[in-house]
Amino acid sequence: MPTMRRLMLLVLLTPLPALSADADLDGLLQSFARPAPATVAFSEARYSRLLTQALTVRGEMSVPAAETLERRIDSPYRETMTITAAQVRIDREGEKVRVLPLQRAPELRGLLQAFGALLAGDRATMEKYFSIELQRDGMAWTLTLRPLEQRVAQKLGLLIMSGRGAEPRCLVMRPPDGSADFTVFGADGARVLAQHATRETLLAWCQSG
Amino acid sequence: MYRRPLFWIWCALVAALAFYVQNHLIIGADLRLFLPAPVTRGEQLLLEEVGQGPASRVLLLALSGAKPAVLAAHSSALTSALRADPQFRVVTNGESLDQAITDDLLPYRYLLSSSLDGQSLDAAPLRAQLNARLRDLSSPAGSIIEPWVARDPTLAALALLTSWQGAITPQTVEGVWFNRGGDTALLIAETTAQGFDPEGQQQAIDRLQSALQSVRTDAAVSLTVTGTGAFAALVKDRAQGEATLIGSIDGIAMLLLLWIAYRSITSIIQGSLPLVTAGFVGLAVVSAWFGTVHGITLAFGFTLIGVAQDYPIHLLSHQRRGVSALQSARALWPTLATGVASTCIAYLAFLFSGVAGLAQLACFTIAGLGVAALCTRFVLPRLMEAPRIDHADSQRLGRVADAVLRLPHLHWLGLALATAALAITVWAPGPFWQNSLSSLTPIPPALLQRDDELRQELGAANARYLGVIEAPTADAVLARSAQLQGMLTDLQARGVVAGFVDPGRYLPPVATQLERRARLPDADTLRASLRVATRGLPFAAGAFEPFVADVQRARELPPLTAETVASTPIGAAIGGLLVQQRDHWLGLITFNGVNDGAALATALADAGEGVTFLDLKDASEQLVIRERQRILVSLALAAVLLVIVVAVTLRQGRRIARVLLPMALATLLILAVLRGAGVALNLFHLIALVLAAGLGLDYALFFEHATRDSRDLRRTLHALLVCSASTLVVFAVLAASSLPVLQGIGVTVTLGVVFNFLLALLFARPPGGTAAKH
Repeated sequence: MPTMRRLMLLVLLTPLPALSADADLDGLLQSFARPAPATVAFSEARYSRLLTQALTVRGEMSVPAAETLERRIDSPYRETMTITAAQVRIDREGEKVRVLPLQRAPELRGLLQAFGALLAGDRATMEKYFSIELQRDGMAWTLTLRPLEQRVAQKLGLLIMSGRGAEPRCLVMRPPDGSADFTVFGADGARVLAQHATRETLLAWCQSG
Repeated sequence: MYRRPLFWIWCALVAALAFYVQNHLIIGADLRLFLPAPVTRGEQLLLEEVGQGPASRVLLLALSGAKPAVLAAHSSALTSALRADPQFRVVTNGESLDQAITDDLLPYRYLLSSSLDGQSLDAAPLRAQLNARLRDLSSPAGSIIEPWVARDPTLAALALLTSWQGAITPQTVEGVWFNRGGDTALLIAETTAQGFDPEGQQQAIDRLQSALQSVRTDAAVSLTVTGTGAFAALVKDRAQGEATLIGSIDGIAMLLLLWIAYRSITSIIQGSLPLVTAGFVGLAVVSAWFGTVHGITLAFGFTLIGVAQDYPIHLLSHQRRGVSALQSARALWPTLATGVASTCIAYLAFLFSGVAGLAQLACFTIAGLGVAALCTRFVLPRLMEAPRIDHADSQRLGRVADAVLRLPHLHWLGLALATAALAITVWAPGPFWQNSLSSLTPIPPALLQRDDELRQELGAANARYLGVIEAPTADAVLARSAQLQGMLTDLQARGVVAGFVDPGRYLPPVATQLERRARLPDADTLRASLRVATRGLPFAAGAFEPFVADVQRARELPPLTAETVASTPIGAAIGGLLVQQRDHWLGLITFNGVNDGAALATALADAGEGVTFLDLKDASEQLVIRERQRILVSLALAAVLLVIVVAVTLRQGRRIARVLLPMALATLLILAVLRGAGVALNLFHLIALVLAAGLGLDYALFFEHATRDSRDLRRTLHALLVCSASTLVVFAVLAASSLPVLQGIGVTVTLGVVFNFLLALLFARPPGGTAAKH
């Protein structure tokens, strides 16, 4: 999932070519190849059956170096998560720094491997990990990524990126367990989350393009 | 007229012996038979099979040749197919660790994990945990931990799993272990057979291959197996294959040679009877006396009694027209008997060497040689027809014999050779002795490299170093193991080892579990704490009921012991590390990625009572050294006995010298050549030296005896040429073997035959060429 965020980030940071009728997936993927660094604001809402309300956080994602993603949370608490190919480092205020190896988290690791391919605009390698589907409706577009590895798919479910014209807006993760995770990109993400208080309205907003 | 029945009676007796042997012979593969009694605690542990330890029973498996998803499916199927197999203690592919905490074991996390030792389940620490879980839930890993949060908000199970994992764990693809390159699925199989039991290991490997065959869905998937046991099986397989080939070549060459020498199939068949009889008598005596015969005893025994083929050759070559075979045998007997008796008496020294394997070898050889000699003297002549040819008539042999008689007596040459040989033997560079057992069992470098790669990828245990905890009970071992945690963790932190596995890692002692259990709150207390802890947090009401239920179950659980975990995944993990001895228990600590063996040794030596550091390589080398010392003492004793027997028989000092000095010089020359070629000597060279000396003694005795008469010399020359040529062929083929053990014996004996024959020719004759006077 962090990779997805990175992927999303790259999409965001990329001045996407206007998706003309003849722009195909190859063109879209190839345009992802971007040098570091870059920064984007994000807001996120997570729904879980354990919770009475969605957990929302707000912060900034950046690519400080190649193959590295930094996910900083500014509110409601402060946390910096640094994700590299081998590990995740979590530096949360009031807690000890934790470093988790990614070896035993295939769902994260597979995505990271796919990410390298994404950087290179290598659709063939990308498709070793995902089946990719691009849908367009006027200016709006939706990229649906389905993990090929059975176990990863079981935990991760579908990843749906959506945007409008040159502007990606939403990343939705829908694991099979019924929880949902929304990431809205851009400075007004917090406002969007506040306006759409339930997962249904949020989903509708993301799908509206 | 009684020849034919006698022949059949003899054959029937041999068949009866063969039947007895078939029913009574038990062939052992326990190498300890060939090792002397242990002295140090380390050696004792090494020999108590513990030393062979869990590391030597670990086979590393690699599945490759197909797509990762296919390999992963094969890996899972293979693991489940072998789960209940009695040949394997455990087969893991990364899945089973995640499954190690099965549902019924899950509540035990509060007894097993140390994560709650520093804190209680009161409201304040719970609230801190729950806050952290909220943040975890909103992290990218949120969906992964969510199922756990309700049941295990303090993440005790995760802490337990993490502590069970070694320092190095391979990456997981499709839920199973893969190498870094992602193209090979990795598994670990721990066999129930010992690492140095090549047959058991071969069966285990065969089982692995057949299990793969039964679950295979893709023909391209291939399985590579490495590890100590795989190597043992491989070496045995190669040795057997090569021994069979060598045996066939030798057999054909031998028959060809005997045909050229005697041109009579009857002679060849009759001539082979003493050796065949010797073999079966040897086997029968050893199995009657010792019960179990070691495979090595058999291999070497047959090599050593091969000399017995020379006895009928002497008889066949010494036949004279008009003289019955019985008379010839009677005439030969003093010389033959001296040779056989002195060799047998020399082998007596091995009988009392204190090494069971050597005693068996001596028993086998003495029985075999003795019987072969007696057969040649008393039975074989009664089978033989009146001779049609006399080898003394041969013109060619006559010329050779005359040339031999004209040879000058070059005493100075002997002295010069001896001096040079001694100098080379003493001053040649390179180690004199080979102490490493592993150099005797060569593994193809490519396979060794593969093993090394797999070992690193899997973080598999180092096969050389081992820590051993000794205590009266399993629980005491676990308690001691728990005490050592700090020291071991410190070693890991200092980089001395990359990781370690000890029994305490999986199972704390009962007292610790009871302490932890006593600290767990009852349901009402825990619910009250949770109410306080979740105040103001967005958790749903009753979200943590699964957690409350687990804690309640844990409060009623009896502590786990080595016995009660036996059938669980923990038992599989701990089984190889906890060993019950007759009156006490052993706990084994294995290491991986050892960077500083010396520091490890020091730390474990300082660990106090009941903890022993075991350097298996060092301990086995010490044993090899002591074994060699024993053999050398036996050899010295054998040499003394041999001199005494020869001296008693020959009586005159000059004759004794003429027989013994060529043999002694030949032995020295063999040593010089081996040392000069940079060969480090091992046990097998020593045994081969004894064999060569026995041959040399025979050659010298016959030469010494024969040179009184020219015609007799021709017959002796014929006999010795056939003897030495056949021995030479047999051992020259052996010398071409790729296995160091066989090659070492082959080279040594080949040199021995050449040197002994030439030196006997040069120095065993009485001075002045007495034959000319006859």
